[in-house]
Amino acid sequence: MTRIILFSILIWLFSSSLIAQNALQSQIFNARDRVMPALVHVEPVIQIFTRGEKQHTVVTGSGVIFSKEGYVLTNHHVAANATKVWCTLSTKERITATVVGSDPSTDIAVLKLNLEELENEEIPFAELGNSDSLEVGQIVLALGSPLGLSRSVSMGVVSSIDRYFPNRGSMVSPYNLWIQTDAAINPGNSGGPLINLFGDVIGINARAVFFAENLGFAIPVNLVREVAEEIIEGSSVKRAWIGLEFQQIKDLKEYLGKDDFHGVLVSHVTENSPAEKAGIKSGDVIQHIGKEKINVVYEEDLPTLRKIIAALPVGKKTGWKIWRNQKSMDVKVSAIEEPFKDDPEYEASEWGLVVKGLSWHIFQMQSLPDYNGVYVSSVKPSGPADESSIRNGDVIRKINDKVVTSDQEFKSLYETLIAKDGGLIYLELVRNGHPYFAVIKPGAGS
Amino acid sequence: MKYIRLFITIVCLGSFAAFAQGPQDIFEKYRDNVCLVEYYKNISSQTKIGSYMKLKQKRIGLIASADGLIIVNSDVFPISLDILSMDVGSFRSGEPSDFKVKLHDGREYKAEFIGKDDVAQMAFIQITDAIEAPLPFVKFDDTSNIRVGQPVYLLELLGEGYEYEPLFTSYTINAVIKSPRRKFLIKNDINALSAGGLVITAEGAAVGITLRNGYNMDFSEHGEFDDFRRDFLEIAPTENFQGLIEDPPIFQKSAHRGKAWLGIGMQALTDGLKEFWQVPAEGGIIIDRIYPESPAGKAGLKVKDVLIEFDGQAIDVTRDEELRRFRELITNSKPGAVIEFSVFRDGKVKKEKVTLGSAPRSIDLAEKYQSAKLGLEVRELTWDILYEYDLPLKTTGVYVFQVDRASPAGLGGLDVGSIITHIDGKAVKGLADFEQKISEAVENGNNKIMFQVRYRRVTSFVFIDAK
Repeated sequence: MTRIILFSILIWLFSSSLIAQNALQSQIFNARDRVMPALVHVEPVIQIFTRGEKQHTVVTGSGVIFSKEGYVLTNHHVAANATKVWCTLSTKERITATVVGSDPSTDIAVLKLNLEELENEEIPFAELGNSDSLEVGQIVLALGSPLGLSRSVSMGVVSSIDRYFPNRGSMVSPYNLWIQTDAAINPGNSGGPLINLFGDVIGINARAVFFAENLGFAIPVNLVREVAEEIIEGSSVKRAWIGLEFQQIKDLKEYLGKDDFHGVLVSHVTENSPAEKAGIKSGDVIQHIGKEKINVVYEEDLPTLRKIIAALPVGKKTGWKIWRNQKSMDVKVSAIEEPFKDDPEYEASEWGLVVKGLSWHIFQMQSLPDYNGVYVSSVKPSGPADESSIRNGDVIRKINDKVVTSDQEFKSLYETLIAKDGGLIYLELVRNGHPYFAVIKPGAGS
Repeated sequence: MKYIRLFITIVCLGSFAAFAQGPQDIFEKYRDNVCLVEYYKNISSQTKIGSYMKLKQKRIGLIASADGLIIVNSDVFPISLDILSMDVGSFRSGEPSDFKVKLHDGREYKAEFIGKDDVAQMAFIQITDAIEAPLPFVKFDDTSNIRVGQPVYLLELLGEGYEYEPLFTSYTINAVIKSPRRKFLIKNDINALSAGGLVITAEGAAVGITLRNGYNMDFSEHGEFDDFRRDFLEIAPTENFQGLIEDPPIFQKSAHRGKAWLGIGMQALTDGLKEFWQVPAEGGIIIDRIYPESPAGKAGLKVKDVLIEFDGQAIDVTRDEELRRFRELITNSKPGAVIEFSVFRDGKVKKEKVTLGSAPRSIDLAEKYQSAKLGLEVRELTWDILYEYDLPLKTTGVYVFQVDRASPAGLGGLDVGSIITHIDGKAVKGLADFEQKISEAVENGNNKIMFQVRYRRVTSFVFIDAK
């Protein structure tokens, strides 16, 4: 009798594990079937400048269709500077798409498929889920074209839901708390969806760590949704800027011995910024912005704070509560629109150089007194700029004594001057934080 | 009569043979002037601030005076002495110690480091033990007649494997470099112990000292493979160091007097700028920066001024690569020298007199405070750091020179190169003040110390566990 019971238990255990396995398998199939038809193999033809020469190259990435109008989510680093975008759908049909807009700060870009190129303009699209409900350990699938191998699926779990990366040089993601996963993510997966077992998109895959095993990072879909909506509405994301850098207050709380202390520590105030004009000093602790209570205990809390600041009304004063020298005080801060734009590079071919708008990184590195100027991103060897000793990394501040306020201003000054035909062009630059002078002789060099 | 002539001819030939020196004679003559210098290089520990690792080193030395002045290469102490030699520094180098001089006849003497000149690449040590009799020393000759193709001998020491025996080789002068500093080049195919070998002409005149053989594997800016220095040995001619032998540089931290200094940032007057500003000169130097409190600033020179003449001599610089010619003009002058510049300003040429100063000492010579417990070494702020970071000279604080990564300072995130401006919210006035504030914080039993720091122009806070 005991033997029969034991045998029955074994049979039951075996069959239930089979059932469970089958259930997982069918969930995976279902999830795959909900998103795979909306998966896109993205091949942008991008424009790059190497030693001042314009070149075109094709890169490979992934994307996912998320609306019936044919909007596709992908990464900024896939679609930025694209002159043409080819998209291969799950049906293997190959059509073109246009870049609606892209946001370098979050690494999100939105494409729109040119549906008129299809015989049947009705296309499948994936549902965007809710990344706030994700849990560590939850099973996820990564879809995309790793190393160009299209329509690939890999599986893993969510390893972390709040991975934070401080800014490093040009690698910046101030607003992102990344989803970390061990689902295999390789170059080419960028822009592809990370999905849960219900077939909802919960993230956009964006980064992997080379020489590491199974360390992939995706942008949470709730952030993606906010940014994509703004891009579709206005082609770019506009953010407010006040010129502050922050540190978490974990150490400060311990230092002060105040467990119930809240806020964020101001580590740096940019010269001539709205924050400096409002009288904020490094060492201040910001406790309220408007009615919003601020509490940045750990660095993972920084993106939330930055989003609050980015959403401030431009040109209008907001009341802030700050803590300075054991006392609470009020200041009024009037934000401006972020002065640093990541516009595409602009080629001044007659002068043999390529420029870009300033980034915060360049602004700091070159110790600029204001936000005027453009950054020289590439110089053509033996061209007029090279002949006049202009180098990559220089910042052009004035052209013929006119202040270059932006890359747009540069473009218009350049176009006016080349239309005039000839004449020396006098530039005032900043190199390694100090003035540098140069004269371009159009037509000089080879 | 015929026999008399023959006799005179034989006597002449014989005496010529007696006076002419063969290579063996030249070797014998100079062999005792070359000595082996032993010392310890002291390398600052990265894991225990304040302790130094000792590494035994050997160099070729040349005896320069009867009382025991010895010339060695300046790499025996690789630190920057003043702000003009920023690229020489090695922040982990402590002072070299335990110098010992071994003569060819086996005698050994203790010696000490007295000073160095990084432009000439020469350092000087002095024997401190009593010497029984005056030492044989090298007398250097004029080099103005040295020409390409001239045969020379090189007297050096071999390495450890050959027990530092003298090495005597015959070479030919392959090139004479004129600018920015005169040098001779010879093709080198034998490895000697170090730089510092003696160069002698076939007539037996000492005319130079070998320098460090700098490999340069860089790609040049214009894409050519710049292998100019490969396999060449550089030789400093007498005039580059004779003055130093007569008046050796004295290394004394507090009283160090730097090289002659003008205190400007500069760029070349390119053809384009010359044409645009209509400068009446072939070349020149554009001032693009005036360092605060510099001789140039005190004399009223301004940014955008173009210097076109140096004491009546045209400054023929049209490319940035040629700027070092102008730097040599300044560093070859003496601090305190009055230079008359022709300056192009606002469309006119003016004469401006500038009294050269001496270059401010570098951070390598600054006074230091080390705390092995907190894991940091800080130094008083020197002008080179403030110039580099573009901060006003009145900036107060201390410079973070070294951090032990596994210490409270390292774990707190303190970075080398930052300036600590405040401790616990109070301004740090200087090194002594820093030391006092740190001791107070530790004595008060604070759990954490808060540093406000700035790296270049960006400020942040660092919290350090004090317990």
